[in-house]
Amino acid sequence: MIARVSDRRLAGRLARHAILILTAAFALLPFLWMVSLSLKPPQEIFQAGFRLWPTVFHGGENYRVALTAAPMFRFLLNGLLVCAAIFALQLLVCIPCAYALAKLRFRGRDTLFSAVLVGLLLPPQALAIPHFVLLNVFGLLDTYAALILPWVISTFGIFLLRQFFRSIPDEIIHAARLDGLGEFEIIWRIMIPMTAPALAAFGIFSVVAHWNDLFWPLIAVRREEISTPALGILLFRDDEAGQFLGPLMAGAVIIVAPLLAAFLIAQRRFIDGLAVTTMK
Amino acid sequence: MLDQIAARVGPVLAGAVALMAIGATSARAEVTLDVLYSTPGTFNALQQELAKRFTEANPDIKVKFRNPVASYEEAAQQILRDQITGRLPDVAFNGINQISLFVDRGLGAPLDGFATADGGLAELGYYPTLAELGKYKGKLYGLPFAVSTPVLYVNADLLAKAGTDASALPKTWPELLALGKTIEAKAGTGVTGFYYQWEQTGNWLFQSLVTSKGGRMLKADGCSIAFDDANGKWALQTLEGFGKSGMPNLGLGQARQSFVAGNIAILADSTSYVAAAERQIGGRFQFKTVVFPLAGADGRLPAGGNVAMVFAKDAERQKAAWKYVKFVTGPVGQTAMVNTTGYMPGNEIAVKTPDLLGAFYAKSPNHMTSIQQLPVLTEWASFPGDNSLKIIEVIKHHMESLVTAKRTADQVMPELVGAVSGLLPKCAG
Amino acid sequence: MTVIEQDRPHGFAMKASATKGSGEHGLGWLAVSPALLLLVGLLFGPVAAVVLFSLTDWQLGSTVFHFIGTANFKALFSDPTFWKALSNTLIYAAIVVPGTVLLGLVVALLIEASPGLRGFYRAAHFLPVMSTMSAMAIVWGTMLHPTIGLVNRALGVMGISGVNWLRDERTALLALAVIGIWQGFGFAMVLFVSGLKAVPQQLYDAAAVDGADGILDRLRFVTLPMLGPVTMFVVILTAKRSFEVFDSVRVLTQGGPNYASEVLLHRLYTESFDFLHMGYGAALTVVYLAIIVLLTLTQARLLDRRVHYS
Repeated sequence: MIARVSDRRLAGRLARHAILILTAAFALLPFLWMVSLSLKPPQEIFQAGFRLWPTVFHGGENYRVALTAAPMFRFLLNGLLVCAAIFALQLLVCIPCAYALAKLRFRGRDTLFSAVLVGLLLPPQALAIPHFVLLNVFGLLDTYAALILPWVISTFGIFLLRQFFRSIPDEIIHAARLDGLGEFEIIWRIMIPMTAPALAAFGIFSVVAHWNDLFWPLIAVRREEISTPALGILLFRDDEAGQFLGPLMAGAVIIVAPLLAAFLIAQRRFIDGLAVTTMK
Repeated sequence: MLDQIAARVGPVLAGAVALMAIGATSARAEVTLDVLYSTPGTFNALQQELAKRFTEANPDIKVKFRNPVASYEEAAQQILRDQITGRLPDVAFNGINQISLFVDRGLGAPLDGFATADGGLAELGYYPTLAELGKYKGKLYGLPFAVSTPVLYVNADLLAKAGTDASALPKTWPELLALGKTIEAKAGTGVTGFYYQWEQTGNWLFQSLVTSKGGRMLKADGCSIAFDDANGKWALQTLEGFGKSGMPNLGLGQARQSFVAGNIAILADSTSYVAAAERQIGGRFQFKTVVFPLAGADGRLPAGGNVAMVFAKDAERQKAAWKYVKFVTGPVGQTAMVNTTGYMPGNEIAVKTPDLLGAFYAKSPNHMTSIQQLPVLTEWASFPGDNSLKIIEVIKHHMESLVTAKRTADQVMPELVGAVSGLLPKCAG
Repeated sequence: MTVIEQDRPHGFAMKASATKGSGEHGLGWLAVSPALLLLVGLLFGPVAAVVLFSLTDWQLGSTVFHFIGTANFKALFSDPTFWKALSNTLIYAAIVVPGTVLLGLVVALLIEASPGLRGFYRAAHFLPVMSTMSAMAIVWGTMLHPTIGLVNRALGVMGISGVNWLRDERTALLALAVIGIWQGFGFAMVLFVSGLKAVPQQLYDAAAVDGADGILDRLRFVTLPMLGPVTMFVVILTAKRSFEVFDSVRVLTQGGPNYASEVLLHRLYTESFDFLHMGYGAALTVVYLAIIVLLTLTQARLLDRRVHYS
């Protein structure tokens, strides 16, 4: 009786692993292949066969070419700068607004909140033309400002933070007010610390979305020196490519690695943050 | 926690604001040239290198690149957009066929004055035929940076399987197709006997067929169609032949990857890829280039590649731009260019000087093939008017239908002529 | 609720001007003013602007324009490329949404079924979600090369001859859809996992008492119904993202061959920013906006009903 049950359990577990290994392989294959090709010399890249590890290690050369043909680290730095600036400004704008929507009462509050909800439906790419025109009028195209400004307002951020702020009991706020704290201090000392996970999750969403964004940088930016990662990698790709597969893959690795590394290090935070925000 | 947030937000915010300010203004003591080029895979390393060497020789002029674009067409689209937003690059490397496109819209600075001031084009060493290509309506607008002709890339090992070799290659397309089929039969799966890069930018390899038969794309007046004659018909029929023979539909990059992997026996493509092909093949098989078959006694080949054009409007910037353009198309720049790509140099001094390119061609027979075709160069035509880029798209679309055996030449000719005529402006007369 | 007299707030960093005095009212408006300004300036204003552009003949760079009514829309609707892009986007979504949701659900169920290697599996499946699509699309392009690509080589080993996935009109969109599923199913998985974690064990126990204790029974009577809201959310989100597909198309096929993989957003980009047909682009934007808003709202309503009345 027990033997049969545990056999079934074992079979079940093995089946589970078998299937999950398959799906995990599907998920991981492009990454493995990318790294593999980035280490191979041209003759091995074009050879038939499925070796992951090169027989002749050519990684040094491939990465060297990738790094000299385009300012890869510059792209990563730009990604960091732009994403950090966007998130910082988003916080500055969204937190007071979310707090007001959650905890303050003023005429028009519900209309405003409905507007925020409507804003959530709008795909940001649909605003590309007017944003482009606006930035052109102010002469800000092809600058960091062009990369940052359109994203400073985040209806997702306002919505998310408002939900979280609402979940903080009013008594705490009232008590704080009685203690003589001003609204700003209430936000700073109470609301933010208590919703830190939500803020972190919002941050992750924001950074990942903008680090990986191609559409808007493609429109707004021309200069190499302010290009962000998703745009930078295209530097290698042209209609006539076929010549630099190794360095091309090396470039892709350099672009993709930072975010993936950050994810692997802070896995728990990422995934829990995601779950937490969407559940609200 | 609060301190962390404050510590993080504060400096980042300050930094972001500062950067925005820097980005929005650009006050510099020296001149920084804003340069645009295409096909980064081919030119990235070369352009970076040349920019570095130029600034070493001219410390008060810096060179900054825009994100290179995939093709000449894309570059043209961007430049036209930049004209509207008021942000033209100072220098751009445009397809040789695009000079008229820009000059007709008031873009591009005439370079005759600069050239004369420096002793004249001949003194500076430019090949007369190639320098001519940079002229439009009597004025010089572009200096040749990288020039190409179509050649046949040949995998001699695969040819040997069919019992022939590169020197005995047939000179007509049907024969080449047949040879390709024989090789496929002998070599087994995965091998393509013959491939024609019909997708090359600006319909270049369609024009090559037309001109190789002695025909033209446009009449001498430059605004009415000339390929609706027997030569054009022949070109379409040749493409139809490719499609009927079962030629696969590979992309530009895909076909080149296939060739260097040893999977294509004969590839009709631009000489521009030769150097990279040699590097990628690395001696795994014997790689040779052969001249492009001319189909008529007065057959010619359109010169491909790009010229350096100056778009700056300010006099100081134009001077700086001229220096840069002169450098990259001069002996030093051209030597570097030939060494890393398969293009032909526009500068004779480079070729004649022993320690520049003199010894190079002796060692690199594959590069010589294109040079041998210099005497039969003709222009790479582009269509006038607002729709010049759209016309290229339309022609490409029709070529695709032929090489994928979806339509016949008889069907395509009237459609093509009709579509292109509809997109051409009325002739000035 | 008592109205509490406010002390002067200790100064909002944003506004130097004096506050409007006591009352939540003034404070509330102060707090939302930056956001409000930006909502108008960067969100709703631009929407209005796009609608305006679509009704005029305004070109980028010109200072005059005239109202031409629905001419841009007429041009749009009589352009076969637009309809092709629309139908392709719908087909793409029709493949990617079920694919992503199902795959994500299956993986989530399997991961939560036993504790072995959970962390690894979660991380592995989630990596594609974090990756930069433009770079990974390039990698996929290499894998999909007709002769030397990994996919066709693997198929060759199994005796199947592969096609030129990205350049064959029949398979280009499908290839892009697979890439879309690849990128999205990890996200769906994570959402389902948190949904699964929220199902109380008592429900399973109660069901077992009622005789439903096999795997399929548990799924049918407890798990899937409880996952209703999460599923609804995942479907809506995945659908929205499918309509926003751009990176892979731009990098791999540019809408080709012959518009076989042309999608709405890519069409919008090409017409507006490559060809500078701003009026056409604006009309397309309006249609695109309408489609997405309608789609999301309809889905929300439909699924909401199913979830709460089934």
